[in-house]
Amino acid sequence: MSHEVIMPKLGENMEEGTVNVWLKDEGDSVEKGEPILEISTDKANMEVEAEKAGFLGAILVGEEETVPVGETIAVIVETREEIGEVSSKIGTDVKKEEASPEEPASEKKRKSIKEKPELETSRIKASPAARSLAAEYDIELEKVSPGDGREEIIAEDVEKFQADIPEITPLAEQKLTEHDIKVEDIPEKYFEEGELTAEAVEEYLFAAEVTEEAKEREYVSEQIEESKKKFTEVRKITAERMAESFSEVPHVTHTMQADMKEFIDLRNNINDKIDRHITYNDLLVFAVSRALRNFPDMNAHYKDDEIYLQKNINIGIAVDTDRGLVVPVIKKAGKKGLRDIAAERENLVEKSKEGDLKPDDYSGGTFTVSNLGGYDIESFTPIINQPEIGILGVGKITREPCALEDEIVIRPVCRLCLSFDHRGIDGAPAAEFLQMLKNLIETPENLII
Amino acid sequence: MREITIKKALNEAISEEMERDDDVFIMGEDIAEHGGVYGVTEGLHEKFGKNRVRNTPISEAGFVGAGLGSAITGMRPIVELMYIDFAAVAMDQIVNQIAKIRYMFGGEVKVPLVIRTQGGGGRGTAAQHSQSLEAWFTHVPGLKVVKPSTPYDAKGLLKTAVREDNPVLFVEQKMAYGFSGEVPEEEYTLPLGQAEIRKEGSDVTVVASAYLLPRAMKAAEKLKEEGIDAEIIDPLSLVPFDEETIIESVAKTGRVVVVHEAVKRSGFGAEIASKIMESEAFYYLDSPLKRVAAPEIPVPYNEKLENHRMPDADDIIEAVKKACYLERIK
Repeated sequence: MSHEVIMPKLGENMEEGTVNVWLKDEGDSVEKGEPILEISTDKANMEVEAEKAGFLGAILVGEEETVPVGETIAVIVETREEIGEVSSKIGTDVKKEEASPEEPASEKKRKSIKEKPELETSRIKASPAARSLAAEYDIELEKVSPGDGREEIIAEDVEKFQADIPEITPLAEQKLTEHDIKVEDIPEKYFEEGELTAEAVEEYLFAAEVTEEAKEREYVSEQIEESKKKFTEVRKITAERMAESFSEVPHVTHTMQADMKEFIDLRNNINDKIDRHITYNDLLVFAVSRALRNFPDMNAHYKDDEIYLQKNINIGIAVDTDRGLVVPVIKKAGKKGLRDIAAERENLVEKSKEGDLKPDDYSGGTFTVSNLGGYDIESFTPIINQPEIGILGVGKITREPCALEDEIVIRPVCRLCLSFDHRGIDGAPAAEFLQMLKNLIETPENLII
Repeated sequence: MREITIKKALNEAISEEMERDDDVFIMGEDIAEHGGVYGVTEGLHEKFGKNRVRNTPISEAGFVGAGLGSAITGMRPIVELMYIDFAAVAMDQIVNQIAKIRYMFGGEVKVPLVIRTQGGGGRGTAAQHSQSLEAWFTHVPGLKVVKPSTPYDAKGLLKTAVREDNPVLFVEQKMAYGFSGEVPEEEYTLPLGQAEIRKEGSDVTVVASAYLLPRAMKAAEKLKEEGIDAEIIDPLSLVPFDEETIIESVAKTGRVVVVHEAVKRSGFGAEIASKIMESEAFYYLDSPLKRVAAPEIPVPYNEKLENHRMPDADDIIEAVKKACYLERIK
């Protein structure tokens, strides 16, 4: 008997998962409940446990490979004897090759699982002709790039590289030698149509001599224009989701200024009275949840050209961590009191910073609050966390001259920036929602009425 | 110049050699009154009589062995094996006796024997009468293996084979008997082991022969329209093999497509590929060598399946384009 291990669905929004690392090898025995691999999902790493005891019969998905939820990623067999057999029984997703009549199908399939289609080597993929030419011209193949969308370097690429090497006039050559300068050190701008003349070398020397510092700067800017930053899993997911949302969703951002005087006073009063520390975020989440209660159209998901109004008000809060942006969700905020919201926020933020968020902690959001008030940001255009249709960006509370009645007074104000999915909601109702939120913030007693 | 078919060219070669040398005779199944299953020996029986144009029983091991016997006693027999598939029946004679005798007798005997046979598909003769087995014999030291493509080289090479003091397996293609081409009236012979450049080109070397040569030529024409200039080389003789011509061509073009009718696996294309890889031409290769050959299945009797199995011009074009990076390499 064999048991298929599938890519689990760990959150509502999870559509695919990546195998990070296999904790067991093919053939290893596994206990029920023993972790056999680690996967990364939307925003966290998770261990997948064996549902049955036995032996890991076949690994069907390699490390760093991403597969859809529900796809078989491994097989657990009951007996050691079955280890070799299982791969042939599965393999519906394994690339089928034309099997010759004299080759047993099982062998063929097993091979296709084990064998990578591409050779893995650090050597450069170049044809023998390209190598011979490169040797002849004394060109390092590392510097040559393949043309025409190919991935292999062929002779014409080397020829092109050779043709692009700048010509140096004999006089220029002499000057370079005199001043002990390498041609590579001379910035491209001194070359005219691929040729380096003695005048150009002199120009370069002059520029270089103006100040040693200038020369240094030029060198640095020419040589080090960029360095590759390690792409973390969170970065990758954020990049994918942001790009998807930004290109798919017609974003509109309304900005509205709110007077924060009462809001600040309320928070200070509460903090004086209760043992739990209430942040502006807690109070904002509370206010937003109450506004959403009265405005169900904003508490919705837009999926497959349909709008789904959400029963629960689950508010995501954008948290900046060492690993990048994560958005844990305060569940059923609409039904929770301020104290519960604060407690849950504290717990989620803690877990976010430690990287301990479970998929359930960051899935199921219906609206998101992103507060950049900690910085001198006045307003910004937040990107919608799909499939939600609204996100509130909150800027810094600043003291500004305001017209109150007919007088100019200094008041603490803050900009509320609501980005919404115009497919799901129009500008006017979105403005109404923002207006309602502004009223709740400016007159917080409305929160309890 | 006059044009004749391969069938006629072979007939002339046998006739001329029999006229030239009384020791030359021919034997095989149905070759006398019937003129051979594909008509190559038509009229020879009438011309040379039953002693020199001899029908044999259906006993390949027997008459191929008899050919060896008469060869080592001074005759120059031409033995016709009706189908190369039947060589399997005479394999001990061919591989263990004919190919070895001269060596094992320290060169004291000569084996001036030609085994003429024909192979290949295209005529609906099914799995046991359509194979292309020439590579089997190239693996055995002591045998020469010749494979003509045109009437001109069929005649010239067969005459040389008859005059050769070592055994020669002369492999014709059944569908190519009707190919016609220019053949001079006057006598000539062609040396074994000399390839023919059928078309000069600069972009890719295509190696093809016999029944597939016209298909390769057609492919080259189409490729020319797309700006690819193919050079087509016909080896003509597999043993001895003209490495130099192919290597020079590959060094010039940097790309190779080897075409043959035999199945790809362990076909002679593999040997040609190895010869290229082992040579100086390796350093000029600019894309992986491609082989266009039959899939590893028996030749089907069904006409459509048989045609599907046989490499055609489109297969060659596709391989050439891959070799030229015009399509991704599979």
